[in-house]
Amino acid sequence: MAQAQVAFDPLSTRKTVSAAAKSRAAHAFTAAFLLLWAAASPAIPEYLAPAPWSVAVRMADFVIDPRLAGHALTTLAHVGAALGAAFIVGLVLAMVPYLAPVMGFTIDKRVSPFLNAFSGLGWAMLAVLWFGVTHLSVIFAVAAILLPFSLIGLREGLIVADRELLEMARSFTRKRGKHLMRVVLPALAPFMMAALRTGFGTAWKVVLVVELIGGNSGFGFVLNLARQQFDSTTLFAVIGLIVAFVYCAERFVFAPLQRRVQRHYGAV
Amino acid sequence: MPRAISQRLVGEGLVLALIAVWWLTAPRGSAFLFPGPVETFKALLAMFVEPNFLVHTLASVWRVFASVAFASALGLALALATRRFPITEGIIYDRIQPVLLSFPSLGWVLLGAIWLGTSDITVVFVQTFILLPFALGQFREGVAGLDRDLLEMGASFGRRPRRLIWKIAIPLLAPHAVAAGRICYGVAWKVAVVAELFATERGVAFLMYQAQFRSETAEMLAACLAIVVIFLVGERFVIDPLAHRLGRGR
Repeated sequence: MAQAQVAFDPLSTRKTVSAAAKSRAAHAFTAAFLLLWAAASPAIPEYLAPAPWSVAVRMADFVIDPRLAGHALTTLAHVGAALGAAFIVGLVLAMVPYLAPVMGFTIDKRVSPFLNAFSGLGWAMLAVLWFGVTHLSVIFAVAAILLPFSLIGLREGLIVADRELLEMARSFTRKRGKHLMRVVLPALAPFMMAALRTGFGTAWKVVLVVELIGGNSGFGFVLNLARQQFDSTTLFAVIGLIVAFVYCAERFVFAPLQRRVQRHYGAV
Repeated sequence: MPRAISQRLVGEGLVLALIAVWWLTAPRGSAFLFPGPVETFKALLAMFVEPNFLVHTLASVWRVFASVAFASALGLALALATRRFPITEGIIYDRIQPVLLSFPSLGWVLLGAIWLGTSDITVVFVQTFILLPFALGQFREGVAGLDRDLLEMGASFGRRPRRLIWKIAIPLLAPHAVAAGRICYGVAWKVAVVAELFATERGVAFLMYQAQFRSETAEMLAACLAIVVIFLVGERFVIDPLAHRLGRGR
């Protein structure tokens, strides 16, 4: 472990630790957690904490069993559709004050705070009321929950977009469509990426609640059945699958993609 | 007409127009699908006036503030742990934080109900763990950005660590504490109140769920609007003054 003396810092031990040592500690923590769980599980009732191998087998079922895999794919489809819808509506709403400046107050001080303050649970219940227990309900509610995140992020992007760049674009042509496609949208790219990343993480946090209330398939529906049958193994398996999927998507898709966008278009 | 005034006129005018359209199009009398604004605002007023509704409103409010405080304190403690013991950095930022960030909120609700039963403590526990990754993210930035030179300069005036922490480190972390509190407060009302569905029999979200079962749509919509009102009032009269005070303290 490489250690070196650094400047006086009342909050630290004044020693630096190498990245390799930190990584080893993280792996050791994961291994210790799994071992502790495995060792403790025979002594704990299964409904409180099922054994890790039972959870692993149930997680595999969600990949092998077509019926369970269908639920997983349904949730994935719900998240994808809602994320797309929230992104498009957010982009349109964020563009309104850009195209019609008189609407700035309406979007920034009325629409945005209202959407931001509206409860996710409220959207889920209203969706069931208006559309019944359908896929549309789930997609509508999740999209409504995600909308303020994309709207606020993209609006911020338009506000801080380089004014000089926009002015320069205007000096070349007065066509608004060209400005939009060639200057404004590329300048928004890092903000779009950030909005998608935030939306993706939040969508997985809320989609299960919405599916539980307004869906007849998907992970949320499966969890509702598991809850009624005291089936903690399925509960742990679904949580494990979601954590693994979101972690991998963040690490292997969104983080590299965001780095690429930032390199190409500049950081947020 | 100055631009700000015309923008404001359009904004407020559109809100009024929307309420007018709602009033004109809503069916008269008992409406299941689409209650009118009068019915809804009566139910909304009851949330803050009638004792049997007020109990639910106040229960949600104290739980949200408690869980924001707990999540912020835990987030700060974890972030400071990485500074005090750098070996824990990988554990906290590469294991605990990503898992907490991707952990579905319903997962916490069901686990909380299984492990702790239905009580106020369960709701606060669930909400705290839903909010924790957001608070940790803010304090991570704050602790990483603590100015070593400033701390060293402080140390040159007197080496008492407690004084340095109190006089330099905490004021430097104050803006991050405010940001953590603000984000957690928003997420709490937007997402974390879901804990009230299965983990308690009091709270605005519980009321909303019950109203849906009884097909009391006006009451359900009023509960949604009550959350909007509480969120905006809390932000204006608690979070903003706190941010102002901490900013001035700095």
